[in-house]
Amino acid sequence: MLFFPEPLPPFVPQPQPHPTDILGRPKIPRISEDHKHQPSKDDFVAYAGGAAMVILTVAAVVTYSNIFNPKKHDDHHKAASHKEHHAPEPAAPPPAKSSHSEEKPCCDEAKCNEKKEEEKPCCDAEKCKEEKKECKEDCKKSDCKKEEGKSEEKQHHDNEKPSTSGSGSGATEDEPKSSSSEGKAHSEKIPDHVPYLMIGGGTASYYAAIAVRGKEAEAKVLIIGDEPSVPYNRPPLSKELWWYADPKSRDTLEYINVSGKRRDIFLESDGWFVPTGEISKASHGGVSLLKNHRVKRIDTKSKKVHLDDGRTIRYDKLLIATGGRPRKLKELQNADGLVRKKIVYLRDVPDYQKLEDICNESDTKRITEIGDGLLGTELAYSIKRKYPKLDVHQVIKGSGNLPNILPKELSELAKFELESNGVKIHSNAKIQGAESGKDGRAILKVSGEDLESDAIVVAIGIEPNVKLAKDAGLKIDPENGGILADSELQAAEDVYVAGDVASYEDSRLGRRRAEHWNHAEITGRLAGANMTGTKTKFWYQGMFFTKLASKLHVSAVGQTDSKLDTVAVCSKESEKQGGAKKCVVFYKEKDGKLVGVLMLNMFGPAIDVARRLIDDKVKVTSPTELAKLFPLYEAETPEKEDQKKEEK
Amino acid sequence: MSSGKDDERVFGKHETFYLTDDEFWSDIKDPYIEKLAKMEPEEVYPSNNPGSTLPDGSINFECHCVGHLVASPCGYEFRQALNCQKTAKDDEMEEGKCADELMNFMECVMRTNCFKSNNDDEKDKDSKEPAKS
Repeated sequence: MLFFPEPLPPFVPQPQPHPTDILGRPKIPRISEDHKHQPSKDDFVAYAGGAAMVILTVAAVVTYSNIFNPKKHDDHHKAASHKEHHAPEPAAPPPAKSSHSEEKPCCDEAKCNEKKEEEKPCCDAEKCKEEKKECKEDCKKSDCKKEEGKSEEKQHHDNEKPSTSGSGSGATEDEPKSSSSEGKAHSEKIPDHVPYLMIGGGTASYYAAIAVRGKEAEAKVLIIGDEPSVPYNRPPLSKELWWYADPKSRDTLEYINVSGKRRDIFLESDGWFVPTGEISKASHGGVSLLKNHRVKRIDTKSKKVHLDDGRTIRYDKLLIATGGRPRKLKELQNADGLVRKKIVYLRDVPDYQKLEDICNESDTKRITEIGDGLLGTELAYSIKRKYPKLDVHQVIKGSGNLPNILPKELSELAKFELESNGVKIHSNAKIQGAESGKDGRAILKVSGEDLESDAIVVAIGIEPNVKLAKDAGLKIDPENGGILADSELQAAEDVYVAGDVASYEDSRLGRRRAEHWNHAEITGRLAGANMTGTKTKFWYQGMFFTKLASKLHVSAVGQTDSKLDTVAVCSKESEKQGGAKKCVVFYKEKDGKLVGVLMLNMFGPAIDVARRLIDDKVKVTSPTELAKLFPLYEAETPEKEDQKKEEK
Repeated sequence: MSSGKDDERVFGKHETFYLTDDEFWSDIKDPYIEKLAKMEPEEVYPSNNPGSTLPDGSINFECHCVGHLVASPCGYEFRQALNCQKTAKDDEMEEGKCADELMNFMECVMRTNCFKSNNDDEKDKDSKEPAKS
């Protein structure tokens, strides 16, 4: 198998002491033995002064920081060590909370009133009354179970790292699969009002917050996320954590990147976020993060959101960046409990950890991946790359991989490349169901064949989380399923959208919704800036990059839908020399104008060239001429020219 | 990736062309393509990163290069320190100008513990991370 070479940390030779200097003269001894140079009284006073300064500095650091406080470590570090003391619980799904919700209501009115007053003293009698009423309503709806609430709260305090107990198979938009805050005591104070409120603790909200603070130096931002950690990058969960991992990566979530530098997936440390109880009083503002919470309802008229624990927060500007959840495979919905434990829908950290744990088990033999898209194909490659001894199967419904993006011919090439990397692909396959086998493995029934599997990884797309917006009266795009917004990403007065859920007007390519990391960053920044009053229309096209096999790097920008007519221009020589096939694919509108560009095994700044060509509405009349703008061949070097002459 | 439905995939019309090394390096006939080919990469398309300096020469705090510093709880102190440094002359800096601003920033960073220390270098938050569906 051919992989990209993994760079090792550079070796830096240490200088050796030598008796002579560079000119061959004997070196002057570093410590003179001449009595003239012996320290005098003045020197000792200076030493004492220096020591006093060191002590004062250390005292100041201890006083003004918590640097020596053993509790100060970032959540993920704390959680990593926490993990070591507890047996992993990879497969135990949390009890389905919703199923008990109506059986054991336990919130009482008095407690509700008490809490409301404790957390948010009301000055306005009418408002107070209204809030109490809402609290009671929320209490009635919630499934707060005293005992579970207590244990969940404890877990929240003890382990703020993404939970490892998520099954990944039972979550819906309304039922978070990780720990829910419903029914537990309010463990953290929250502001009554915040100027900028962002729902969703992912990439889009993070970059929106960055943009807001870039525009307004003292802006106050609150991000509400339902995960127990700070925002993190999801791409490494199917890429770098498999490709560049060390033995501890599963717990540290760290990897060594291509430049040889250690990275983790988290976007910031915990200290970067102002505690939620302090944001109101923070004189120069900041970004605050409310973890483990969901917004249950948005009231756009009174500009207020209702949290899952009954509390409310007023806002001036709101961002909805609720992301998406994995689409469920209906053929596996009725599978028995044992099979369900073997199913992984990879979306978040616990999903990644569950999959790693299965791959690491000594008796694991086969992982079966269902789905022909980017995530599924990427994962099949990544698992095989990290665990070459495992039997990795991929079940796809057509004749090739990435059929929604790649033209048929290249889609089949992708399949071939993956197979060359050791992934066994079942094409044109029909999934008929799954049942548990004798030895505890799951048996996936595919086109009449039984695939005994230790894990069934399902990656068949994302369903945008739009219920909250829909319930708030915002319009949903009937075509792409996103929240309908204008070209400035505004969905309603003072309400903006970004990331996976945003259906926005692209002045060049029409109405769109996209689910890529770079797109979440771009729309996040744009929505954040527009929330401060900048009225910028969407203009910068997001790109995506992936590696699906050792000879299959894909990067693309614009509308790359295989339903469009396409023209590929490929290099002839690269394949002959055993190299990766290099191609540039042009995607055309009906009138022949370019709307998207995809590059196979090509790198460099060509993505910006593609952005320019799309903006300029170039007609793909002479594709071989257009292809000269893309690095199908390396630039001529003197060595290459000499080599050519010799050949002639 | 646009949302993939369970329907049968209908591919658009597709054509493939091949270029040899010589054909690829042959002269570009189309003047528009030739113009683009001669441009520096940064001229071809504007970046969505606005850069570190505003037209009046002052610091652009919207630059992606300082995004995570500006948005941090010490963002205000960071702005004060950087603005002071930008306007101060070399000899003024030597005399200790901006020391208070820098100390305020450092004090804030230590108090809030707002920047990661587990990495062996400072992360470039705004570099384009590989993206996926």
